Amino acid sequence: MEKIVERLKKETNNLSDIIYRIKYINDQKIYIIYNEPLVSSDKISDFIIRSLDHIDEKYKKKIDLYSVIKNDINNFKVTDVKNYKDIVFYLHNGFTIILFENATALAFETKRNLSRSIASPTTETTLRGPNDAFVEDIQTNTGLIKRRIKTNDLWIENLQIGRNSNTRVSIFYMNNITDKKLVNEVKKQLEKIDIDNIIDSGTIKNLIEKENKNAFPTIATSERPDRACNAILEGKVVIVVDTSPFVLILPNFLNDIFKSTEDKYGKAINVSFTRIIRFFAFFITLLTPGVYIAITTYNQEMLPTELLISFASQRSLVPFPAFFEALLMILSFEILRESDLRIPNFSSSALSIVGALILGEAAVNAGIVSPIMIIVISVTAISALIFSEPEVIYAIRIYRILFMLGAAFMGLIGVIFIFIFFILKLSSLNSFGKPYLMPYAPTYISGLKNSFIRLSTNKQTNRLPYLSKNKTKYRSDTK
Amino acid sequence: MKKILLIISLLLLSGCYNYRELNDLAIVSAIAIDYNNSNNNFEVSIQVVNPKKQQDTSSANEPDFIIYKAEEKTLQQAFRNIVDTSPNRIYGSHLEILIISEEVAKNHIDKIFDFFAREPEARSEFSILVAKDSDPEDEISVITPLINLSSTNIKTLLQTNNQNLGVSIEQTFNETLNSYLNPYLEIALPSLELIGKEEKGEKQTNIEQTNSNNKVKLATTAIFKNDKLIGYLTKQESIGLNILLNKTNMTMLSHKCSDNNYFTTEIDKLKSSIDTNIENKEVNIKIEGHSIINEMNCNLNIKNTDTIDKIDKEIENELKKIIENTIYTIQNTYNTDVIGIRDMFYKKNPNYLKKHYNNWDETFKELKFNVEVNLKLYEKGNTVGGTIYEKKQY
Repeated sequence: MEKIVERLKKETNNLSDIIYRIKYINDQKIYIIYNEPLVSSDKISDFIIRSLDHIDEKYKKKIDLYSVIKNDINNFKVTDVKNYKDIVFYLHNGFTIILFENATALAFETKRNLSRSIASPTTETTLRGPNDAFVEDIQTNTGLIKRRIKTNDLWIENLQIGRNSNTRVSIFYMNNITDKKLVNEVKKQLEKIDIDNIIDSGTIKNLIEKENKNAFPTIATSERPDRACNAILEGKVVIVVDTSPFVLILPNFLNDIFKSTEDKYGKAINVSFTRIIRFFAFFITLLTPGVYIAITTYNQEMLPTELLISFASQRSLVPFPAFFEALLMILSFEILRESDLRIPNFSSSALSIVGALILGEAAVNAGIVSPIMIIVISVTAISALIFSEPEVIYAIRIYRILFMLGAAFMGLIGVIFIFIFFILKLSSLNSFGKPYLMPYAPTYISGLKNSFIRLSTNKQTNRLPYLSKNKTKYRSDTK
Repeated sequence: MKKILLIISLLLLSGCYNYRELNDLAIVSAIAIDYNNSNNNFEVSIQVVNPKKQQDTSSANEPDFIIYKAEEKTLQQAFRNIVDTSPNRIYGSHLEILIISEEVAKNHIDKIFDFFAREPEARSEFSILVAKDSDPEDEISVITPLINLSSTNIKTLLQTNNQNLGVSIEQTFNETLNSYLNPYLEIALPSLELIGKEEKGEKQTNIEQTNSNNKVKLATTAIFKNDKLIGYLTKQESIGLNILLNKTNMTMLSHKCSDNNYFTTEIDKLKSSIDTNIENKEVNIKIEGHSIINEMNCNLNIKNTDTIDKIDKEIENELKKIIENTIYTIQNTYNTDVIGIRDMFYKKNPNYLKKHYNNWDETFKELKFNVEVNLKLYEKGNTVGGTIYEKKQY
């Protein structure tokens, strides 16, 4: 017993945070060891110390302290500690260790609540639907999911990743729906990880995402428990990482960026219309600057005469080529966006004033840009903000500049070349063995029914066939 | 790496072919072509849009368009000579109208067709017009109110007139080119006139009054024989020709019912079909349409179905008379086959046509036209009966 304590003290360099309390019960010496920042002092004094005192008073004759303590202490989780490694592990996880003279030990759960309480989502806000978000604690996050799926078929597999951080990672999937091959593949990828630290789920995402070269994300992140649950029930796999409020959802398809969580809660016809708008917005934000450059510098014959005259009149005072003008505006918008994210809230009003100057009347009056370019860039920027996933916005940004380059060198032909390249890139992409462009290419008719539009819940009876081979129906046919 | 190299070379090797900024273009909206007989030169005037006008408040007094002029023996050289005066490259893809003088229409129209059919940049959607009794340059120089660009003004005028009155014949360059290239067809073009010739309309003062001094006015259809302008139809005949060619579907008709009293009908959904009989030299023309009573100055009870039938008959006769007049003028006065009867014969039986009708001019005169008009009166406006008739009842 003393040896273990000595070793612990030595290894932690006599860390003052670890408390070694000596107590005599029934004239037997025990050590109560706990890591102060991680434990709740109330729990230790109320349930462990008090229970031990109670035992001391109750039993006068010599007893087997180990089994008595294990039996009598008022604590919901007691674990036998087998070896020294376990002692260290439980100590760093907020447990209280009771060390006996014969070098056996017990661990009691006395974790302090270090996580913030459940708040509403900040990056994926919706008008309708549940308003809770994941937090940094994996227990709370697991609870948020389990609260919504109350069945034995929700299977969870736990892993420890990170040599130093020892982060707990859980894989959630439905036993009766999810493709087992997918689960095994995910598990294999996770087990392969050999890294010091996992601080956020983003690290895991980068390590298991095979298609790192392409800008479009093949793994989605979300902070909404309802979105995670919908994904699990569709047959996807959700990875929850301790200390990260963002869970990973995979596989992720391009089509998923057009779907929002609240789509499931709205009327089908309204949601369908919104989705069509999202499709438009996607192509607008991708193509507008490129097509504008192509038409005004190469293919002027494409425009109606009145529009051409209007464009020409607006361009007549601008000294730069249209491509440079557009690049200037796009860059200043991206810089504005980036600084808006980093800036503390109290100075954001100053930023918006400066922003209005750059992308506005002042720039036009200075003769740097034409008014139509301001409109083109504004429409582009606004359309990009429809998508909540930052990775998608960044990916679109890269391709937008590619389209602009193509337009600047070859006009509309260049735009078409880049578009072919874009489609090729997307269709060669895979998300955990599933083609990224599903259900468009390869085409799944039943999947298409729920892509551009959303069927009413009454008519949605089958699951997405490309996610789950399992025949279980989403909803029974009877109405 | 290979991919990136490929993309870069793809972009750079193209060398920005055909790159042109909007600022560097002189957008041509109208072209006027005249022929100077004294030195055998083509006189070319182009109307270039002034883009500064809309943007800059300081140029409020500038005109909406600028006229550049040059001349040379051939059209291409004449157009190139414009660069003597215009700093910007001439850009012809947005050409809306082409106005040719009567001299060009009489003797040089084949050169016009060759040049514009060959020119890759020119849009084939523009319309050709003949400047009747006027200099085509003056026609495109007139500053017009409402639609500031005079080319758009003329083009819109042409369309509106064609759709509502049916006098002017509206066709794109491609359609005109088709009938020019077809040896069995003759061309017909709309024409333009100038009102107020004393003072030219190219000054801004022209639109500083409610009734501008100078205006362009659509005139009647100019008809050609063997690609030479031979004359103009009257207004009624222009309508008749448009109906025969199926180029309009709306017109107006008025019929006299007593001294100085008329009723007017609008003819809608006009459709004509021409059926030919080669052996008998017969052409059967069938015209169908709807009519609407717009104005009734006669003492007629149009609640009565018999009266309606009578009116119907009278309108039909009126329209028939117009068509027959048109055919007579084309057949006898000008003797030019603008309706394209020879083309129809050719399509029906080319061998018979070549064998028997070698002298088409004579044959065309001998053709017998049977006109059948079938109109249906189906609307009488907001008032059911005639106001004049109803009032007389009390």
